[in-house]
Amino acid sequence: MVRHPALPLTETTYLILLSLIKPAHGYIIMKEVDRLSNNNVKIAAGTMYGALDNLLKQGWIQTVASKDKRRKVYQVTQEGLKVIKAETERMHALLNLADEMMNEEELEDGRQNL
Amino acid sequence: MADKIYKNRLFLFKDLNEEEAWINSFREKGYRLCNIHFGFHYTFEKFEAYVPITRIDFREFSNKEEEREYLQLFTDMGWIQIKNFSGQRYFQQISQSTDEFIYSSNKSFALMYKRYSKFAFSMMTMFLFYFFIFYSIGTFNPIFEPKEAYLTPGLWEMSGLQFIGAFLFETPFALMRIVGNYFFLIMAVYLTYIGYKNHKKYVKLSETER
Repeated sequence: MVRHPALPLTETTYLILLSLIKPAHGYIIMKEVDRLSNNNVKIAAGTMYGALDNLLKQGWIQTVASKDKRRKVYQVTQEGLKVIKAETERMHALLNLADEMMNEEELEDGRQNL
Repeated sequence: MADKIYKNRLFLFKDLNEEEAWINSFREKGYRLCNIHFGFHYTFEKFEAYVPITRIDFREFSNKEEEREYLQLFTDMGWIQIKNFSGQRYFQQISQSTDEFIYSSNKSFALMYKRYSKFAFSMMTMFLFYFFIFYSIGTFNPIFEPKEAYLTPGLWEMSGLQFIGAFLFETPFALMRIVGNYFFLIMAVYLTYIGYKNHKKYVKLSETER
């Protein structure tokens, strides 16, 4: 299978896309990414603005209508969903590979060969 | 002690980061930046409570609505814009709980220098354009012989105190004539340097991962 040309994503991009499965504005995205990453990924204001601007240009997210007149509300597009799926599959494959190679017997063999 | 201090400083050859560091160095003494006039006259005021950090961002907008949304995002994240000089924006923490930085990745920080460099190059193009217009309509008069910049009749035939007096009196005007003539060209050269310097910083920052 041909890999999506944009992969791999950065952790920040992946988490922003995931948090935008539901519509949200910048500040909510920041809070959501913070929560989803167990407080490990903090996105600062300028970085957030640039990231959203860039995702819009790539067509992975779009602005959606909302009651909030002061803030832009975003959500992933079909293309964005495809990217999330492709990246998730890529990581699944890596995880499976790691599980296979890190199982007890393999590790034991590895130790004996040392 | 005065509760306000005024500093004049031109950051002609320094980058945004150096200016930011200079502004924040006043925090140690308990002063916060409260205004900047004409791009070089800084006003700091004594602040008893937590002294907020100032961060500089560079972003131009052609659309007012987009700019308003950008500022709203910064406000939501705890940053208030206190000054904007054609895209060069000074943000200050609203409270101590605001993040320390406005960029959390090297890549996004580097892109600010790219935007700044692009801005400098587009300004340079404009000044070059003006220069060629003035050149082609004959307003530009290169003064290769400094004596030509002095217009006082008979100046160079005078002597002694009379000469010194007249010479010193006209020198500022002569300098203005020379610099004025070359103004657009000087600006274009200066902006080329600024554009190049910021582009170099962008490249350097993008090479460091994350």
